[in-house]
Amino acid sequence: MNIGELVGNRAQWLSGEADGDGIVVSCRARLARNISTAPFAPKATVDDQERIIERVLNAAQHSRHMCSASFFKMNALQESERLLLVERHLVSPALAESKGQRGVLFNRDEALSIMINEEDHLRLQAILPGLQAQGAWNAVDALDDDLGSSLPYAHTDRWGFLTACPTNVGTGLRVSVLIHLPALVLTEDMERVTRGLMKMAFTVRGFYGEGTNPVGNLFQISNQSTLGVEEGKIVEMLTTITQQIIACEKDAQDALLKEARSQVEDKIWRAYGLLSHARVLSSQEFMNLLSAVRLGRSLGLVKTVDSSFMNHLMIITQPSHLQMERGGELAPEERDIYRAERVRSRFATRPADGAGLP
Amino acid sequence: MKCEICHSNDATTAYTHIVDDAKKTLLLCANCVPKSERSERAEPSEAQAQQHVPVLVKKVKVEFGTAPSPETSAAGPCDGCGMTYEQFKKVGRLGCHRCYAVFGAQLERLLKRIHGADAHCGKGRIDERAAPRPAEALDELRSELSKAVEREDFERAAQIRDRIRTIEAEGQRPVGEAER
Repeated sequence: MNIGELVGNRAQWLSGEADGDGIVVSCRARLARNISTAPFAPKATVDDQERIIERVLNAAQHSRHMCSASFFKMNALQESERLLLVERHLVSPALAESKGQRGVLFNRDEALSIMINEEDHLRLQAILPGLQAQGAWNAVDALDDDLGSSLPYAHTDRWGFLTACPTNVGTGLRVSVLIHLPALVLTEDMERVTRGLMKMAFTVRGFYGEGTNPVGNLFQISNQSTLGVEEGKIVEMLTTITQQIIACEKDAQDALLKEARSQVEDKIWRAYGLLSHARVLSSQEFMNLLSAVRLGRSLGLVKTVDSSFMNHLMIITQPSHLQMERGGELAPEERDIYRAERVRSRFATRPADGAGLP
Repeated sequence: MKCEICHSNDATTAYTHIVDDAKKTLLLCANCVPKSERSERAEPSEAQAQQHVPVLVKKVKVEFGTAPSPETSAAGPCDGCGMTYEQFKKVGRLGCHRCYAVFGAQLERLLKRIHGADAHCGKGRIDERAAPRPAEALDELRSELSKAVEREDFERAAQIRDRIRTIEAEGQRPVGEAER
């Protein structure tokens, strides 16, 4: 697979399946693993890193889950290409920006991936559409079993899988859900939700994970602790918590519609109008407008676009996607013009009109 | 540094308990240091041995030292990668898997604070499920054994001793996939 092909690739996690009335975008499960025969990231030399990459690639080749995956070495990519991978949630910003020998391996459907030499030697990731935390865990667990049969993982009975940062030790599992909560934001209930989650050792973050701000009312909810609780239990907890949050969001959406139907409808259809016709769209404005249309879809008001359409749109309008598609660097103001053009053309050929996505 | 038993008074004594070759040091305050006669009782007497009390260990020895000042209390550097605990505190990342054994005492407290737990629950290493357990497991069991003896829980100590023997016996067999 060529990196340029990714721009138009249909990642499975964007399909809109199992989306809980348009509220859940995706679920992700990641495992942190290290090889006991090599030093961890802070002490690894370039030679160590090379050897780790070689071992992981060799192990992946023998795995039935990743034998046909594509590998990209970060050093061999342009900055915009590395950012493209970040925008597609295939690599973390840390992997894209760090130095040294490092890379990513992923399948064509982008559901399974392995980051090599990030904070840990391996970061295995499974990402699926909608509320499928169990499915994501099963997928990453199976990949882990395959790799673990040939890689000597650093592990002790007492502390489980050993990681560079003690915050990941134990299961090494971080399971998260990407969820759209516009009504809870509007009713100013997010703080209460966040506090409640913290008490259960779950945390709320922005769209791109750690250290990022929420954009377009999209939040990532994930487990905080990795030691002392079994993987299956964590996955079950996240699923239950998410179902509860979906119910709260639905209640808040219904209440909003009941109290201020005209205003809510007006906000949604204005957003729809702007996305369909605007000539300049900043990334922030686009995400806010898309959030309003998503809300319209959740409320059953907007029927002409679905979750899959909006999820793809959200990815292809990000800076590196726009630049890769345009075939060259764009200044921020040029980007905003091109973004508006892309959005407009997509709305003009939306799936409900029978045109579908390319 | 605070006493590792009461967590309130300053530690003044390094109390080292040696069971066979397993050494365990606790930093304790004057109140929590075991009285010498108590520690002697931990060793089964000749009379006990003759009354079919299982002999759990070859030798139990207790040493007293001065608790080190906070600056020098960190163990290390790590024999695997050379990282010191001070360096770890600065970068927040450990240098290799050995660090977990070398800085075990400090990490135990840290992990408890971060995760609210200090023991793993969940998946094991796949190559361990069929193959013999590694040396780390034995180290841990030996340290558990010395703790059990220390608190005079001989029933538990006997169980652990049996487990160690089983693992050691298994270790005599040809090594399978574990070291691949």
